[in-house]
Amino acid sequence: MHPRVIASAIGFVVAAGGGAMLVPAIYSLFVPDGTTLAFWIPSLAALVSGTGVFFLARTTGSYVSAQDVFLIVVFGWISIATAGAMPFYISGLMSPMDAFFEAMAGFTTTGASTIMTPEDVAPSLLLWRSMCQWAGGIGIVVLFVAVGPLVGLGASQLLSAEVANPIPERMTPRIRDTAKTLAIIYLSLTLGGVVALFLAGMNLFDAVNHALTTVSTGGYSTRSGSIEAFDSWAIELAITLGMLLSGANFSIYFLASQGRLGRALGNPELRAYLTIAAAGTLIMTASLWALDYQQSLLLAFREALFQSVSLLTGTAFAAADWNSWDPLSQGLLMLFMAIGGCAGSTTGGIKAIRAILLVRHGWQQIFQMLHPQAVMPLKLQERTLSERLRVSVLGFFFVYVLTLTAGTLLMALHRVPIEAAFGSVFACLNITGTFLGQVGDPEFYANLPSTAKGTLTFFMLLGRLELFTVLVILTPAFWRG
Amino acid sequence: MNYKVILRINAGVILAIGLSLLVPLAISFVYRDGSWTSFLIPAAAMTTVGGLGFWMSRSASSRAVVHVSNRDVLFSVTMAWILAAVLGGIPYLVEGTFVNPINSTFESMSGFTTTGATLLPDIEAPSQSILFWRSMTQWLGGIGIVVLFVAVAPVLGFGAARLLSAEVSGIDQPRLTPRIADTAKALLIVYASLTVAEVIALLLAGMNLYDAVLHAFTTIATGGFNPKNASVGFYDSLAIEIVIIVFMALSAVSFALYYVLYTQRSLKALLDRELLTYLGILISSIIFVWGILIYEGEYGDAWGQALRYAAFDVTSVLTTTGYITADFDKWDTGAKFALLLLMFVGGCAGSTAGGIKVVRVIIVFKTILGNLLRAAHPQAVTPLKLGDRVLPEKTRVAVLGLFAAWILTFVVATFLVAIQPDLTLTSSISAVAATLNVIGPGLDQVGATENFRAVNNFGRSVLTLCMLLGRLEILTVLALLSPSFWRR
Repeated sequence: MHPRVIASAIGFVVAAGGGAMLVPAIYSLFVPDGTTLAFWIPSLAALVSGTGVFFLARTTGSYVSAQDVFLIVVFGWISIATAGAMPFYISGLMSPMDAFFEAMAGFTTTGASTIMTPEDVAPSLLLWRSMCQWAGGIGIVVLFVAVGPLVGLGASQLLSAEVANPIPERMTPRIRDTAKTLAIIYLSLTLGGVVALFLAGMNLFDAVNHALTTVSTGGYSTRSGSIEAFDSWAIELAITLGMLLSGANFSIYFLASQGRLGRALGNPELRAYLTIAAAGTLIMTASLWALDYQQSLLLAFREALFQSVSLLTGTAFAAADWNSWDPLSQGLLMLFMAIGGCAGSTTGGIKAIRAILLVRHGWQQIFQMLHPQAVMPLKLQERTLSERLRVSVLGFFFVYVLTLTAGTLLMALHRVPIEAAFGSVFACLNITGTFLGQVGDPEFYANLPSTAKGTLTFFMLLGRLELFTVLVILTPAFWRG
Repeated sequence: MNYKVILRINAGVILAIGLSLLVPLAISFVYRDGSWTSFLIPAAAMTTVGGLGFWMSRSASSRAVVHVSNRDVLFSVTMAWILAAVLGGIPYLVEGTFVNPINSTFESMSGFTTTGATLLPDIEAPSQSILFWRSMTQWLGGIGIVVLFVAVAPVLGFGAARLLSAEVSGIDQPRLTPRIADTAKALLIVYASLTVAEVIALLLAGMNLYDAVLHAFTTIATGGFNPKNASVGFYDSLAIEIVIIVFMALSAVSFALYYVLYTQRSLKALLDRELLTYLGILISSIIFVWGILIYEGEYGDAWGQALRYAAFDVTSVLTTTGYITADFDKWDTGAKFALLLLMFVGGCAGSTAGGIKVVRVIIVFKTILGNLLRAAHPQAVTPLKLGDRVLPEKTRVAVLGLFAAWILTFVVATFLVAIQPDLTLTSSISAVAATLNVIGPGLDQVGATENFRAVNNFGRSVLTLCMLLGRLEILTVLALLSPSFWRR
């Protein structure tokens, strides 16, 4: 463990957060909504303290171990959420706990909120809220595409062959280059989103906000009715495409940018992800057409398409009141939330790749009942996964299920009804922020006792960092040797 | 597939059920409750058909070496339970207790899988002999499960019993048929002695003979069918509750362990890792639920009463029996959810209890800890140990696979049951949890004081299948649905 490396990295994260806060700070100068100080004070404080720590703790050339990465990531997210919560608190909009909840839901791209009517909130605060998700999104992409595979972190390790620990010094420039390319890709997707939404008829402010929360699959909206408020085919299509693109593994775009498009498209997870989205849309269209929207096949298709992509990617924009849909469609949507998008994307859930491997493993297990002597390696394309990775996928699934149940029990102890207790933990762990029934409503989160809100922020962090990253820090073995 | 062997096993099952029906027939004569035709007709038909099939397939066992493949056993076992459920439900149909075969099969499947979910609106309404048969189906199902998972499965390499330490399961040198028969005989003796012991204990605690026998039947089988609407709460007797708690707890212990105690007369087997963990879970859950009940103020200052109810309901749920004294459906969310979780743990492998089984839960937790250790120290080697024995990686993978299958089955079945619009989500979730883990009562509309009539016919069929899947540990049944099963 290298305390100096960890401190300087966290200092960098906090300073970056302060820098990002300058955007709404400047914006609030032009749109005088009375939040100017609420941005300038925390922004400068974060910039000064972050840069100070960064330079004081900086060391020249050393190894970074897996332990360092875990600590940097977990405490990085907690610190930036704390810094990012300041404007919400100083502006007098929220209590400290609510502000932290809102910021954590932002930086983890969960999208759970205690703001009931965004229309009543100062525009610069809304912009900051969307920016939190955007910044959280780029953080996740860099972490899981550029760094994760090297230390065996997250689902992307299943797709890459190399695991190096500690990360040798020569790798650092490579990580930096990859991160830079990823940032450019992410930025271009965002700009594309802004232009598309603007052309589709949104005003510039709405277009920017929605582009920021689409590419990060976060789902904060500037309207209390979410996308339904715009009631526009063009906007829904643009956002659907944006969510679908953001739900793919960013390493695909990275490979494509290096001219290796063929290899990028051969990714088995991408195919599975698109198949799931397409199949879900078709089944749901049929079901909605038959049961809910008897009149219009087209309307059923429109709503089914938007809602399946929205929940599969964990964005949780709403373009229809899916609370009143038939149970089959609702069941599918719940399942989608749990599956999530691809590894190395900003989506939540267990990730498509793990879902594929789980199903494949189950199938093999049945075969094994009949042929106890058969040897069946777990394959992904032509690569054979080591038994160790198989166990790690299964282990992930169990930790996921156990976390879900433990969380539900914790929420139930706050006297939340059992459906809502499960739903809120499910929503936070899968990074969707929404669930059937009352959990979809900001009022539900707003009325929770603050210990319950604190519990949920923990589950957002768990889900966002794919469980093990956080849990490993809690084990004694981590601190030994 | 070896059709002769399959025919012989299934004919044997039919014959056995036909013969078993003679017991409630006798009861019916003793009580003169007028239900004797309901037993005589099916008993005669089944004995004839079963006997005929048995006689026709006699060559299957006369050969010196019988070749039985895994496929034959998996198929026969699944068929045996389905046959038992369908045939065992016929007396209800003849008697008129149920009119719809779906309902009689549900009730009978709930019996033979030792689940205890019921469709009877008024349990005290049917005649004594019908209630006797209802409880007896659980007792029969219980011994069937014990023989299957302790005597048969380890030889063929499936089920959780192969995870037991060698001194408990004694599966070092598997020799086929004679060993299975010997083991089965010894298990039957253990099972019957436990039943007799409980009948005597309940008589001493003040129950009448009829009730004592019925309760013993369904306690030892961890089934939970009860001749009273209020279940064990009807007697409101501390002595009876204690006797039942003890016997529920005993029945969820692996019968392989009793077998070893019985054959080797050494107490070393009691140090079994699974047994110790099981007792640990049982006691800590009781204390935990007791704590929640006090915290949530369910019984005010009556802490003793809270302990009494917590102990009974937790034991009943963990051992997947499903008796109740206090209606846990009225408890607050925390306590209810804790019980829902315990439903999935279940008892020890090789007992009559359902659920995922303690030994598998141990392995899953060990795997998770190993994964966490490796996340911190990527070079660490984490072999899977149970006691002082290292299990092969293949075993670990099999356990993890079953765990995943269990959860997926639970999710899919919940979707299917939840399609019914007037069923609350809590009801459908708990109905599936209660049948898949072979417990019996769920929460809300299918709660302890209710029955499963709130679920529609489609849902009842799904739940019937859940009972079968849960009882035979899922993969046994799912294997039949895979194409590779039917390929040569």
